[in-house]
Amino acid sequence: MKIELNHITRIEGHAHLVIDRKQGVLKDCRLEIVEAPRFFEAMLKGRHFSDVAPIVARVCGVCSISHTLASLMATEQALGVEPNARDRLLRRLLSYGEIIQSHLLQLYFMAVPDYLGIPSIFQLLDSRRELVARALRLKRTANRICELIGGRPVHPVTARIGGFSVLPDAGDLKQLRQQLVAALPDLEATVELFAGFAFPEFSRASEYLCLSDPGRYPLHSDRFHSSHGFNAPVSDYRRHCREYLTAHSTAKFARTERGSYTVGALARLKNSFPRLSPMARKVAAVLAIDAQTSNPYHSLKARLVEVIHYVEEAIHGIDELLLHGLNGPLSRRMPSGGGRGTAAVEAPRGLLFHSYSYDRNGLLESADCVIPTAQNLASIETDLAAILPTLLDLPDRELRRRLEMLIRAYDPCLSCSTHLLEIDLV
Amino acid sequence: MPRKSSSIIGVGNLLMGDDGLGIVALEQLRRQQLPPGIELIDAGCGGLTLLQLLADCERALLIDAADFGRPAGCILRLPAEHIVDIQGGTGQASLHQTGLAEVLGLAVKLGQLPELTLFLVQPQCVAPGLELSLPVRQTLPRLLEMLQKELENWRNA
Repeated sequence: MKIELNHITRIEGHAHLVIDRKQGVLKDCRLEIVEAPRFFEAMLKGRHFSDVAPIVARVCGVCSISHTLASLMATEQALGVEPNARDRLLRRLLSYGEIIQSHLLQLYFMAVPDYLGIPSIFQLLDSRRELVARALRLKRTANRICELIGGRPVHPVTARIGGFSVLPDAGDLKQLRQQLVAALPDLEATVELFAGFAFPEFSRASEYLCLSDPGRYPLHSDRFHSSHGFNAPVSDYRRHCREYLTAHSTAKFARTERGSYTVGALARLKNSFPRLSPMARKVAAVLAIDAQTSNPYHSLKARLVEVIHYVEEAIHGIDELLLHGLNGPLSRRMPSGGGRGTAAVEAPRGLLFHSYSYDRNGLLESADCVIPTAQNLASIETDLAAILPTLLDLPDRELRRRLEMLIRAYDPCLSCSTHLLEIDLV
Repeated sequence: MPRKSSSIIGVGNLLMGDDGLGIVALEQLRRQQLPPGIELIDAGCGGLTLLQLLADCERALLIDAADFGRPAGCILRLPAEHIVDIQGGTGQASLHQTGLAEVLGLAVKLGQLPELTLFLVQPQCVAPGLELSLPVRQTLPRLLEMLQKELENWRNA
């Protein structure tokens, strides 16, 4: 019996470029992301604040932790609730786990095939099985962070308004620490692999935005800042990050008053280079990247540097938790009332804003969510238009490859299906 | 490495109508009496994470929505030995919402596929929404019965 399983469209995007080779211009550039949160803003209306984060956690499989945390923090802001230091640290650990695993996926499953010139990493199952096994081992370790702190590898369940409902076991944390330390040789091998790749030459300075956390590499904070000057409370995000519609895409784009801007690993690294861990800075030197970089292809290097940084931070975070003990109250009491709140976290792909308004019964009146990929769309388009004239001498295949690599360097949500990237040469 | 488990895994997106049926079925199972030692795993839309979850199972039942061209609510019970030739369509692993077929194909290639039976349900509507369609809702009791029967067979095996 032959059974055909058709693919069910979940949440995905689509990129379509039309290039006029003769004129050397980008005739049409349609970057369509299905902005999942926009659908879900409507779904949240009228819900009690205790239902909001669990719904938001389902928006995306890769960024479910960032959405959950941004959502909880925005609701806490609205209700005037503040988690204790232990729970803030646990939340940081959750974010580390998500960013590490998302970056590793992008690096091994998207970038490695691009730079080795193969359609999929799994083509290496026979010739370089160790590389594939290493990728899966590293991903498993990162998943373990999410699972231990968040209660499961995806769509976390333990983080709740005010803190956590369940705490990880000290013995499990010690074991996780060992796993992270044991991952270091695999990470060294990863750095060696990427140090050997030839990254395309291209440079375009953008405006870079990320959270601002004095003395720390950005992750969770109530302020954000730009490489071009402003430092503002995240509640002012609408004033600085203006969304607009274009004729050629249904997705909303975003700009600052100066124009397109970039969020994500490269923006964080550029704006906060001195705050990277010592080991991460050493890796940055090996990969030849520093705060001066303005090559968007180097986002890959920035991601790898961040993986090292966050692994080191996770090890220190576990030590701190074990040192101060996992005692203290759990978040059991549900607050009441309503209000307005805005919060932002650094998601793997960059700044993620959630903003809610609740009525006095705690029912959601309005929700707004700005995702990193939407903020990067204008920057991707500007890069594509700028790089195109330099690639016109290349054969079609190589031209396509370079453009695809540029889009994928941003790790946009639309990259979820590589075949959804169409490039027409006319 | 923890001991390998006997699990029921639900897959899908709870916010996309019938796509969430695997998760809803799992929640209903949680309220039923189950033999001891059975783990219920909500894999949501974790994509490649499913690969790891499968690798940790000795045997598993997996519930998902799938379009196999039948009327909405139809259940297809599919033992893994019937699907081992699924090699992931284009051979490309998409990243975020890696398809079930791709993950199963990879698990086979990596030698990490447990003793597995799929329970696939034909959806009526996969679009933003928290509700299941009527035909899918109506089929859930039958699906749970089939799953319970499967667990009984495990116990007697």
